[in-house]
Amino acid sequence: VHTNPDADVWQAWLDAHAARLLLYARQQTRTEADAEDVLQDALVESWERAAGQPPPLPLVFTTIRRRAIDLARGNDRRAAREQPDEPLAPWFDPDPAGHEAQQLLADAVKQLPEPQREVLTLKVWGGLTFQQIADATGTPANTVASRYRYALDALRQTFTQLFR
Amino acid sequence: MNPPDDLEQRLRALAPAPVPGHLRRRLAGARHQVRVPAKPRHAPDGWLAAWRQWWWAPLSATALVAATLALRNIQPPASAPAAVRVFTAESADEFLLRAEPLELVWTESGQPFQLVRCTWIDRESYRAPVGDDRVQLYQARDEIVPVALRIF
Repeated sequence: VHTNPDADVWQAWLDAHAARLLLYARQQTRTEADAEDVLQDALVESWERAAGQPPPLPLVFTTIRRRAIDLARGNDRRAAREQPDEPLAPWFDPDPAGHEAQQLLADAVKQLPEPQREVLTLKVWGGLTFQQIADATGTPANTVASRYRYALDALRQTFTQLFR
Repeated sequence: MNPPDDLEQRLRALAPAPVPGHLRRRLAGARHQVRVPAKPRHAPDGWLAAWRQWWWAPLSATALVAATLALRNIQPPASAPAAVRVFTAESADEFLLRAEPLELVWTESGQPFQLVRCTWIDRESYRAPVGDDRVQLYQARDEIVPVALRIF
């Protein structure tokens, strides 16, 4: 006999974390459809592994990453992989104040090298520690910290004039 | 670790794009795909829980003891007496099959001996109580025999 997670707990957890998880899923895939598929499958797997309780975020991010890699390796997704890298959906919520600097910053994040962008995303919007990111990505913690610093340096160099 | 600078604050001010409505509904429905083994609704504590879980154990042990005792009292059916013919020993002899010289040894007194390995065949004959039936049993036997030598 099987059961499902409590509806209220499930919905509250989605409200709190779905946006940041979708952001990471979008960065790990090439199309919006793939991002949605990966996110849903990762949520189901993570909750099952957590015995129906809210799973820890590092586990969910790790599962998203693994499923995105598996999806990219799939032969049936070869055609999808050949599509342009630019995702169809925006990664960040448009700044309601219309600050140009924030929009430029969001665009600059997209231009970062993928390893730096991944660490930045997991650290800033995922809320993970360097060690958790290291565990999730299979990268030494020192390398993770370096990538984070490189990402900030690159962004800071780009926006020196704006943030001065 | 250094305190977050202005850039990190600006990054945190960037909010991830909200989940589209269709995906929110899809994810909400995905709850039903999560299959978790159901737990028992009520798990009483203490001896009552143990009793409910293991109530059959003493009954099984008692039944096992009773079955064992009952089986011990059941005698197997006596088998029909078989026809047995008892042969009685009639004679026994032996004959030398092989003699193999081994080595010479001397006692402390200076007497030499030749050690010989003798292989004997022991033969025993048995005779049936009725009739002329006989049974002969052959069995090999090794024996080291010291043969005294005479010095000239």
